[in-house]
Amino acid sequence: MKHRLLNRRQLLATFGAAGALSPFVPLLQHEADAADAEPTRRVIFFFTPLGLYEPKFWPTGTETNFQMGQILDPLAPHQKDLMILKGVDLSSYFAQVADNAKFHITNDHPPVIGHILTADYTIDPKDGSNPATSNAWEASNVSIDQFLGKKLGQGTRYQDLVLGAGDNGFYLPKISYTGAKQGVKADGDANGAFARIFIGVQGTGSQVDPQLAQRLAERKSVLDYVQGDLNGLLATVATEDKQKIRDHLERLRAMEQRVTSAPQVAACVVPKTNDNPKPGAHDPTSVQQLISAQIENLALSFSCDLARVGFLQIGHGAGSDIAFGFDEHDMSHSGNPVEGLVKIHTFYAQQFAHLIERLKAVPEGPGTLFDNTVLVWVPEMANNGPGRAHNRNNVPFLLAGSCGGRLNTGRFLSYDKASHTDLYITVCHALGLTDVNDFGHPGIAKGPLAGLLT
Amino acid sequence: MANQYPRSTTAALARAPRQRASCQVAVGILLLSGCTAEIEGSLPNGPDAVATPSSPSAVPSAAETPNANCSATPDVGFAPLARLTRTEYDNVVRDVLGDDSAPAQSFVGDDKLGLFDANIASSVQDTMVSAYMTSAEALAATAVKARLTALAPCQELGCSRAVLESLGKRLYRRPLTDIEAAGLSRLFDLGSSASGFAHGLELVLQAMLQSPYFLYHVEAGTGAGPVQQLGAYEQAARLSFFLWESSPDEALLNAADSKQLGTPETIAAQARRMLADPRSAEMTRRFYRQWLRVAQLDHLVTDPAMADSMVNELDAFIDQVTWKEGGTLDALFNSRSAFLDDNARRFYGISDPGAPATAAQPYQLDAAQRSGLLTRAPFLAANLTVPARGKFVLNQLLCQVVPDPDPALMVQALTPDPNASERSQWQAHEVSPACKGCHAALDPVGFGFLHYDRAGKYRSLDRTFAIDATGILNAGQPDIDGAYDGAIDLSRRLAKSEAVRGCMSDIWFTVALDRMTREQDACSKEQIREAFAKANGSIPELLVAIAGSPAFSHRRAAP
Repeated sequence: MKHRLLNRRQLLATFGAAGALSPFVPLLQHEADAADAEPTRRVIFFFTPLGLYEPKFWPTGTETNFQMGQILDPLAPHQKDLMILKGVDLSSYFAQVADNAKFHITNDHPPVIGHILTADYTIDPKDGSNPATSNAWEASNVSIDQFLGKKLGQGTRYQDLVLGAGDNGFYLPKISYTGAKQGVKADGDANGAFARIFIGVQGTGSQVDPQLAQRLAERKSVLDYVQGDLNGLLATVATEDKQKIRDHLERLRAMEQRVTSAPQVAACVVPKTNDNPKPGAHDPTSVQQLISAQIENLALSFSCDLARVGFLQIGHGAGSDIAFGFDEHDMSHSGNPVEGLVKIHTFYAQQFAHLIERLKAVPEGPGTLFDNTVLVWVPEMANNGPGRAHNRNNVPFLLAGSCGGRLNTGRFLSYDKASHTDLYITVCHALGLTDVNDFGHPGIAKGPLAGLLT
Repeated sequence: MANQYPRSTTAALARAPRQRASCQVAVGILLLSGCTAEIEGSLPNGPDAVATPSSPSAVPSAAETPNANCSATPDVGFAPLARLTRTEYDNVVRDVLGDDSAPAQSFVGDDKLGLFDANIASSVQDTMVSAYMTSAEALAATAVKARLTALAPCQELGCSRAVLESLGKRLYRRPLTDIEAAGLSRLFDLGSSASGFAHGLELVLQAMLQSPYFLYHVEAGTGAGPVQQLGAYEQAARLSFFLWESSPDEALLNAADSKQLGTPETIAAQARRMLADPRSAEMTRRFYRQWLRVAQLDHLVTDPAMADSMVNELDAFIDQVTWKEGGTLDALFNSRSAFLDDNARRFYGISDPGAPATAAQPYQLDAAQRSGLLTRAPFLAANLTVPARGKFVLNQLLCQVVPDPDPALMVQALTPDPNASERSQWQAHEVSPACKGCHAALDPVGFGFLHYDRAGKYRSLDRTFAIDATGILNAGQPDIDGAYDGAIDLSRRLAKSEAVRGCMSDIWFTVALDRMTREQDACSKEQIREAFAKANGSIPELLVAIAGSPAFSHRRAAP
């Protein structure tokens, strides 16, 4: 009997008596979702540093008939899946600049990077540290990935997978935030992330532990005890520290839902191990392998429905490990040498293409995972001003995937000073959250961007 | 705190050494980050580095410091709630459970406070919550299988409460409350009724190892008011995590039990006892490894065995100067003692045919070529260039911020010149408007290191050019400012500098307290600096002074 696979009915029978039905609700819900024609929708934010070399990026042509720039060559096979957006600004940044007397900001990497996913002001630490180098700058609000994770990830083990590759280990302010000043560091260790994400997941073909029921019941008791401690601590810590404990508590609860049931998921195939370079490897080959491994982690997590929201951070603000012997940051300012910029940015496009291809390889319903997903490529900035200063207007945003038929793909759309706030609201609507009509800094949102939603 | 930026620069330079002196590299770096960030292998501002270009000294002299009263109700800065670092987690399970498997090495990497591991700024990651569970389950299973008798000398059911109270005290760094003991006892009963004593204890350990009272440095203080004295157990925990990066031992907990940690004198006495323990030596090694960022030697030094040799050399040097040669800044910067294996001997050009290849042997280095830390392989190889080396001195020894370049300036890549000396190529930066903002400050300090090539090897010629390693130190410190010649002379000046003592004591303060220094800490900082000066710049005495300061025995309830 040891090697017998339990089917869901048998598992339910095992746990029914112990009143453990509730952990299965998400699973059943997921199944019910699949039965209705409405698919499970997902989103991945894909960050790269220092913008994209615009002369070799922007398409030429019309909205539906366009020729993409050279650095998007790797994405040519997927052109019909893309949405390239011209004229989108980091409007929250400009609002903060206008508000500078009250909310100080300078055009350095640390003060601005918190705007990227939060569309809200950043907070000057006022500790005397140099804004050009200080990692003490923080965002003042939740980032879009965490916001969506909370909405879409209710029943999944992870609300938001924050993964990274090519971060050189130096330290910059974070990009993903659960709330004001609560940054989440990207997990740059692909092997470790794999082990952590899939712990206890019983994929197709896994063996069932004969003492599973007892183990899971005990685990639940232990986690309930720990929750009690977190609740007790929450009541006593300083106001400034409460968010840390709230986040911990919330994540523990979300995890408990999954790890105290037997997460057998149809079509979820989890390989035994994942052997990839250790974080900290800096040559482009190793970094590429790391990125591939993180993409694998995201694709597997989605296929097992362990998460529905992901953030993949390549490099960090101001640079990456890749560079191919060029100075990435210097080139972003100087525009020279063009071949260096093209090489690095083409590499980023290759990784984005790989992400698309990997999701297209996972069957789901009549199509693939990709059909029900939207990918949002978020470059750190633009470099279009005089002297190629780091600018925050007309940032080269690119989306891929129709998100279950809700986005008009294969488009090159131009806007006049649209905000990335509204871009994120558009993404919310595509994911079914049509009641989200504001995000980030108040007073900026106008509603979904024209021409994107079907 | 400030920090560093892209390794891309470093990596690029490592692959293209001949281009390094071009402004293409150096300038681009500077514009990005306003100078202080990007020079390869360079380091961030020291803690509390608030100097502006017009007031270069970040370290007020005693005369300038506002009269801060340490004796009445001392003021101290707020400390955000910190989660255990990976090192702390591993050390605690080693010291309490006897498990030296270092499970935290598979955790998500720690955040940094400046250059040092500290998890104070952000929430725990989703994946870390499950990693904590997995690790707790594995540690608990191993503990009851392999070390049950050590953890639970009595394994009768009636002893369970005493066992879990004893383990709880070590893991939570304080006695359990009655409510906690009762809750954990229920978990014990759940496990033991199904599968016996060991399994009951296993569940208890699983819970303790995931409890926030284990995972976070929780402090409540005593009494009301904005500034509170720490409780005795909190005081014990601060001492042990500062000096050992681990939880308190029995002696420390006993001192807390009998209220023997209530005065600066008793705390200092414990600190002295603890400094004699090998765990303090390991903590000190880790301080220097992080401060010099030797982790990046793995990427900068192509031969991994050489990188390992450099780290070993640093560890042995730090042991020697901290614990055997008086522990002073004078020893740190001027000692010629070295412990070298075969790789390192080749690096320093020492021939010792009879010596074993891997076991390091003691040597005195050539007085004309080398002195202390700043002239050694681990520092030089991690800080490759003139501006990077100058920047370390300014940021990390003088706690100064280098002025920002004008962001409006356009970067022009200068063409590298194979027919000019390295010094003259750097000097070109001092007249270029785009470059000089930073280089005019960094290079005159970095020129002292021109006798060492990028790898850190000594050279008497820069290719065919004679080497001029003179420079000017302009730290706003009359006792050390002025012209100097070479890194050995520079080291001598820095070793006796009041500014360096002030900077070092602030950096150690940050590490000891897991937080930035704040203006409310003025009296503690002054007291610590005075003690450090009085002890002739002895690092062990500095650590004792920090432990005995008001900031170390008090907490602020809210920022």
